[in-house]
Amino acid sequence: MARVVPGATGAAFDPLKHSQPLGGALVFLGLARSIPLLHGAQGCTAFAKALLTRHFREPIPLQTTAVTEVSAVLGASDSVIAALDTISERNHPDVIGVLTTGMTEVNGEDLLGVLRTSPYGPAASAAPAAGHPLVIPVSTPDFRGGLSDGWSAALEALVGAVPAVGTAPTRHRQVAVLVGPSLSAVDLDEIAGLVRAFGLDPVLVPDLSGSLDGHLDEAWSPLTTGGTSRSDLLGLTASGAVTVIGATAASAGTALAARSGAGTALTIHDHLSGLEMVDRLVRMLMDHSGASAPEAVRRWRRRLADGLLDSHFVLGGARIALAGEPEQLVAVGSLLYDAGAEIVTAVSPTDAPVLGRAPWEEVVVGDFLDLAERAAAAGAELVVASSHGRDVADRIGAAHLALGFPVYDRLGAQLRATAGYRGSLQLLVDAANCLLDHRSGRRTGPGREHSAARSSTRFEDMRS
Amino acid sequence: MAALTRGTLATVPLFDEPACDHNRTKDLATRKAGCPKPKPGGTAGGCAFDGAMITLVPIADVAHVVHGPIGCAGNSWDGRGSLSSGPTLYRRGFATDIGEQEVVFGGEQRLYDTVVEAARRHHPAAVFVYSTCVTAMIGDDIDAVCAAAATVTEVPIIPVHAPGFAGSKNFGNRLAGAALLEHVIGTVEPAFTTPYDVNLIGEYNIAGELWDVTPVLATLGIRVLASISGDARYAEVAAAHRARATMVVCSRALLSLARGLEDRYGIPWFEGSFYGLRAMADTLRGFAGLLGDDDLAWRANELIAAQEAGVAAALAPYRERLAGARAVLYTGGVKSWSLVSALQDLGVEVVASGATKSTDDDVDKITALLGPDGHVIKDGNPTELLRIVRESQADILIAGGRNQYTALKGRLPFLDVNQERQHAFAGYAGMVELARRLDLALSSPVWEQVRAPAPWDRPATPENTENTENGAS
Repeated sequence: MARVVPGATGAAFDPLKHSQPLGGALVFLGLARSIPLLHGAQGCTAFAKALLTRHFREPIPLQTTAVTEVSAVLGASDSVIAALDTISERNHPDVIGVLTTGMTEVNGEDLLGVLRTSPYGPAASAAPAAGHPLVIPVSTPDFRGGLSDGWSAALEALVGAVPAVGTAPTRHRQVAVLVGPSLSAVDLDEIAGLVRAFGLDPVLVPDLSGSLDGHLDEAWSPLTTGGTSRSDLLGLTASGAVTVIGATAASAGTALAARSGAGTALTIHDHLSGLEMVDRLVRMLMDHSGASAPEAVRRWRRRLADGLLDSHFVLGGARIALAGEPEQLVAVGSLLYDAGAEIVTAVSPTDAPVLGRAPWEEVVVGDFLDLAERAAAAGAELVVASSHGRDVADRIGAAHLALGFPVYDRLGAQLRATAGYRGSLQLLVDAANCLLDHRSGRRTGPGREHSAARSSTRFEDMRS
Repeated sequence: MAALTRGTLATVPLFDEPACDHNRTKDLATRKAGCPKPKPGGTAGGCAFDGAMITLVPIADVAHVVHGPIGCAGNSWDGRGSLSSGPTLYRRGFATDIGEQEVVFGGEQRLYDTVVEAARRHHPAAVFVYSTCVTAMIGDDIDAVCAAAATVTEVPIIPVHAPGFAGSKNFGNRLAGAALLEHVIGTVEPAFTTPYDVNLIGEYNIAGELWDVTPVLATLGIRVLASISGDARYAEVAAAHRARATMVVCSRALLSLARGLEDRYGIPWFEGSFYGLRAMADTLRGFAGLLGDDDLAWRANELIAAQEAGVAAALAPYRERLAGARAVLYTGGVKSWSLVSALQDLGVEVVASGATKSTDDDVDKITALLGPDGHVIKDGNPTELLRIVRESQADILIAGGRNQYTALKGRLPFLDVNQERQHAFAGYAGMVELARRLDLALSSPVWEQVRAPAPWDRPATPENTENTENGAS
């Protein structure tokens, strides 16, 4: 049980935090034929779009209500309706997520009220006609919370748009899987595969493995080219079971179970990294399906168990520094901790209940400055963080494993596995190999010819 | 305009720009209406804050502090390709990260604390403080905070009033120029001056482009006194008033800064570009003309001849391979015509060029260069761009990073020439690099593979069967 402490400064020095609208937009990017709309100045969208494009290496559907200083003062509600009109007319999306920003929250405008009296109100949304978008407004001011909070808020708003039912589940074999932001495309594939292995039908919400996994379609599209379909979304409350994978989705999962019929089972998994966490999900799937675990699942469990044995020689006692969104921090940290690593510091951009459940001692709510100072003081060998963490690792002479958001200095962020038996094993191997590379570069004996040259190079590196 | 007119910035006329032909040719009613408003739901591009950061952040020994909620800095810090030959402080992210507390009670104290803390930790040459939409709306007096912090830290603290909603990225460039003119330029005297000291405005050293240009200038004895702002140091920018000539590089938005330098310090200026042989020749002659020296003009002509001869040999094999290639160019401002001439120098046929951010003057130049069959692109949304590419049977799209994935998803070769570009295309060395990158993009083996149908989309023809047998043998 970790204690959560504040960082060194009140401000953000090398910010780890990303804004709520960005997290909210990610949820809508995981729906099919969808586009998020940020209600703010055009820069709010331009910055978010540029960053998402760098990370995913994909075109990102994202629009803006383009609020100006005049409309910010006199009222920007006309801009919202005008933007919805333009997008509907040009692109015919199934879903539009409207996310507020700091500036449109400061002027105290009533977005819900504006939409209610418009053609995009809840009456139109409950049973959207063909060609008419499902419009979902979400309050996501930049000056409160961060990416994970925006993700939670958007997912709750999505669930709130699903019609509630009073009857028992009509699709017993359907499992609604609400996921958090830490899962990559291959993680989501792994989870869907696990559920199917028990003869059940998963509906992942959101499903970035369908939209931003990096795939080549027939043509370019102004909307998302995959993800949870609108009909699957609206049929969520008929599911026989609701499963949350990722603490960030917990509140939405609870809300969905409450809107579903009596007898819908709810299970919440903070994350899916490590033997014990995956075992819990597998147990649930066995119970719900009445089926036994198929051989493929058993085989990957045996491999993970073996991988723990192989990697514990490398990871045991390794001093590891982490930075990332709360759910991811606990997922990755727990996996490495359970392989014997020492988590010397863990920095989260925002506070969240899941942080208290981390198995190591302390989590700092701070930024990359905190990560750099604490990792240096503790002599960390490995920094696990987004691409911004590479500078920190270089400065303190540690290895860097790129994980989280954004990852722009290397390819394949969506191929980074962290979840399930297979993904947990992959991450253990990746972390261990990262350390082995790092250590092999430093192993220079006193009598070796090249040791002087090597150590002087490294000294220079550390000074810069 | 409350946010903009606050403080000393009111002395810099922002909307009165005689050097801008947009302004010059408009009738009174059009001028009153101002710049076109962005269309909700149909807009791409950055805000004024973005533009101000683009112009100022490359000053490498400065701590750039963003006063606002996390969205503005959190999504943008260390996201630019401007390189530095020394300090790396400009790549660090500083944000006040204001919360609800500050939204209600004001964020001045938090800004003060952040600036003082940044100065204490990093000993910057100066601190630039950027206002944002939220802190402009809640009415924080940033000028007062900067003045107070400057007294305590004994470091120049420069307020930059460019909240995002004030306008477009171009307008932000201009607001940044106004901040430099008002608070920075003229505050430091250079250690020494030469008759050949010049300023570059609007050159950001993306991918190290400046380093392919300054050696060429140095051959002529021309010293870049202040680069605004690629690989710049604060003291150099502050001494820009001692230059003898200014070149505005690819940025109409910063014409106001050049004109300001002329009005206040009598420094003559010209517009130019470093892209392509013709543009480089014009630029070198432009400097010689303004520095008013016959000897320099003579040496410039010698250098141009020598450099062009040297480059011609390196370009020969590329010219052969690129001959007849058809390109659609979509970029803004000066690049929309200067790159056309660079591409034509390589034998590439430019079938269309974008002009959404260009002036009437730019459009005239594009039209003259492209000839009667050339297409001037007015609306650059992805669907429209792909249509033009298809109809003009172009082989490659040359544009900014925003359109990279538009091209790739259309299985079309692409070259990035805007701010996210990875390669330096300026000067004579850059011309060779441009040719090499074009050739690599066009001749890559990936295109044939990704355009081939999947096995399940191929008919089972005898030819295919034969291939299989060959493969197996």
